Amino acid sequence: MRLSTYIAKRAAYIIFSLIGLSVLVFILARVLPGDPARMAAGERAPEWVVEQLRKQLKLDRPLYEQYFYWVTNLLRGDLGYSIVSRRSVTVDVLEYLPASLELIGLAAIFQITGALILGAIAGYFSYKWPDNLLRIFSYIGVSIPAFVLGIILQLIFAWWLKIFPAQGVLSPGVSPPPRVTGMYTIDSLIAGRFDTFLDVLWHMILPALALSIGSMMQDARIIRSGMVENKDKEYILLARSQGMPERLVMFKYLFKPSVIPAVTVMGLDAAALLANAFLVETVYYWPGFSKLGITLMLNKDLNAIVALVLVIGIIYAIANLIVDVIVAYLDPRIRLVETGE
Amino acid sequence: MKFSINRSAITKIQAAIIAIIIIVAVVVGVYFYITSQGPQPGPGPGPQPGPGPGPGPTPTARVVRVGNAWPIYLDPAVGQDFASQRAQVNVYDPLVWPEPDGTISPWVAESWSISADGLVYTFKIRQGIKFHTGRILTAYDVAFSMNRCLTIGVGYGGFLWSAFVQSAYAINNTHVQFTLKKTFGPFLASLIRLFIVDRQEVMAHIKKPGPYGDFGDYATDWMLTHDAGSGPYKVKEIKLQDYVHVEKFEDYWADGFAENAPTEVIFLPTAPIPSTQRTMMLLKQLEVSDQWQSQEWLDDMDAQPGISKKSQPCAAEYYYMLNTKRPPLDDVHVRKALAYCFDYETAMETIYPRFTRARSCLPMSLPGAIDCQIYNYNLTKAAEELQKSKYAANISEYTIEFHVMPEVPERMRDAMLLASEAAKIGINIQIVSTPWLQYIEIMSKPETCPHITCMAISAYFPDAAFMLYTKYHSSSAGHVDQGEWLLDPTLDAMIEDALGTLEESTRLQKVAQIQQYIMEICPTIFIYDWYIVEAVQDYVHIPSFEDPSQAIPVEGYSTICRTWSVTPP
Repeated sequence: MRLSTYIAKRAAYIIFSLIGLSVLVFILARVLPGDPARMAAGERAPEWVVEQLRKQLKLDRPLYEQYFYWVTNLLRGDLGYSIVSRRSVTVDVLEYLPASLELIGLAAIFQITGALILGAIAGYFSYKWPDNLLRIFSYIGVSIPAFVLGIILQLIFAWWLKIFPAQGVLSPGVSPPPRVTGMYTIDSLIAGRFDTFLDVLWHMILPALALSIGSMMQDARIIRSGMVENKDKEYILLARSQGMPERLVMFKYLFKPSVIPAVTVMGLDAAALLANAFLVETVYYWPGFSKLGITLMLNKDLNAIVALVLVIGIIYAIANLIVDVIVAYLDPRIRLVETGE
Repeated sequence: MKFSINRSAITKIQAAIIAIIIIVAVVVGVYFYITSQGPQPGPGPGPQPGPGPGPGPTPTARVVRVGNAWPIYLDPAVGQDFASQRAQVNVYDPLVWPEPDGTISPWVAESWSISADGLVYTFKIRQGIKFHTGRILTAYDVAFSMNRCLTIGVGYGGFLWSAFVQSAYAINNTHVQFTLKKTFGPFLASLIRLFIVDRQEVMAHIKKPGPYGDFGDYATDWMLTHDAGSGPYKVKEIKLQDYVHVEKFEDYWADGFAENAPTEVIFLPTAPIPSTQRTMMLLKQLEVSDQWQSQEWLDDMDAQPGISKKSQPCAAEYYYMLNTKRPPLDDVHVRKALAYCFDYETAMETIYPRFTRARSCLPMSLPGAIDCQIYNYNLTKAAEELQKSKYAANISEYTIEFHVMPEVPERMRDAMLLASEAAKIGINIQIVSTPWLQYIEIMSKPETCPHITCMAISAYFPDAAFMLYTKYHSSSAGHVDQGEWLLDPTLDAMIEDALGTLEESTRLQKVAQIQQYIMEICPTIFIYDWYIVEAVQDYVHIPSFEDPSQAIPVEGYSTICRTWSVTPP
């Protein structure tokens, strides 16, 4: 099958998945306890205010009608009204999502780079002390939740060593760059403010590390396992017997096929960063969409909850697609299997 | 067969090693670059030194960062929670001002008169008050502000004034008149919540179409990130979810700024993560914490050099609300038995040393509250009361559900304390963790409302009669303020009578009688009077903390930033 056809098929599956996701989360959000109109109006608001708000939010309509309105608005780019921020959810998404994306972008870079390097080292030195040491760090990294790691990193590097900032996006006295994309790093570069860019990057390092360490360690272990498993394969034996240098054997003939199983997991882990970012953004007061999500859920902000879940779902689906394409590119057998060859 | 080594593979490895070296070098370089730029990371800016090197002149910018919660609705017609009011009192001026002793003083209103029947209030507006836009505040702005609150209906306009205010209109530039539907004794006190907005500024920013007809959205969208006030501080920048940054308004009409008052105040949503707030306090990146931290956190902060735990009274109280419609709590003797089971001494010493034990159904800082607490920890009396009840023979067949919100972990401890003591006389209490959203829902009906719910409730303004109304009147049943489901016509009549009494001393006498009546029917276990307790950097001096007699014990009015004084650390 051609790669373009493969991509098109996958993209079609994504659309169906997202439709199903939207229905599911739409219904779930509405059956959870709590009256969103009452939450928005306040506990002591008179009934006429609550009714007015209920009509405004169309909560007095049947569920299928509410979904229909929501879908038609969605197709116009209107995600509805947020009872927490008291403005359009679309505005909230456009304002906060870029900050989350740049944070998870850096976290994904840390995750993938770290996994590749650590996994290769562990595989190369399998059953020796570097591998054993990395195994210990892996257990720690995987078992400690990201927000706990975030607090630990904050205490060590921000409070004790005072190397990194404890929270926020910019240092006091540094004004934010003019908004273009909403990502502070990109906007700083566009404005030609390299010092601001570095300042933002400096504030991003700890939260990005906290987000990435768990999946980085997990992916490193998968790569390491792949290398150990493939080490004794016949084609490796052949390469060695032909006198190839060990480094060449390890990093060209062994590493690439060992990484393929990890690529799938890495892609999903990278997509899951947005979902995992809720508490890390809260710990570091990073003004992203995930941090907003906690408040939205605690206040049963229906439209915003649905938008939040959809955004995460879309990112997950796109990441899944990218991973599938990369794996298909790396391993042509997968495309051949699809066509039944 | 010849075999050649793939030189590009070796080059790739070397390239990877070089890349790692470069990345590490960049990171180290960035670190030294950043740390070489101006102030070192660590102690935050706080009060900024003046321009120029060396021993500087008197500090020019005094920035104070204050912990708060989010959302903060600066719009006075919308925000009625503590976080919002804390910011509102600094950006807007109220019509009248509450004093620490509960009396009401002129503020935007210079003077007033009340008709004999208590239905018409006429206010004379002070001249020369400027809005942040430079416009002069007039009676038309006052009338507009009230009508805006009534129309939007969220906040005080909805649950408070809409029930009592018939009309608000400006007679002329200097006089405004409010006409009430019925006599409402606390009306004047309630006007500490009427913050005056710049009518022309609001109208210039309305969006149409909107839910308010010709008024469009009444500028509610614009006022999310702007202000239309006349207060001592004006909005510099608001980033929703992130911060509310205000700066001193140089043309403020009142001589209310302390020497070295903050020139800028930043309200930060610190509440959710105690560890981050702790780190910020230690790094001097936060000057005043929020008030929602645990005893352990506050004690830890107090132990740190340069930081102190400070408290001031607040007209709020923590209650265990007993659902009087669900057996066995429908029997007054069972309720009294439970009241005698609560070990106040242990609770106040071990869980809540920062608060004081409740002495009434009203917080003692509220004018009109009397010390009428008749229930002390006494298991003998508890057992005697239980014997008088109709459930004495089979009380063990009932499981009393005590629902506690997990969002406030401390409350689980005092609930367990009650459960353990009640078990000694055969009353079985089961503690159930119920999230806030579900709490609101289950309390809305008497059959789903748990046997015991717990809530801290504050007075909206300094009037005891109105707090009794919001707490115990039948109209409150189903709201989170009343888990008792009293529906007591006698009590309703007493409260309505007090509310309709114009003369304050008479009203307070009636309030005293109501408190004693409530104590007798025991629908509630009164736990503690709430205090606002915060961690404060020693270089920030807050008069209401340092002299509690200066504290205005009303939500939001504990944070009058213009009275603070900031000295360089």
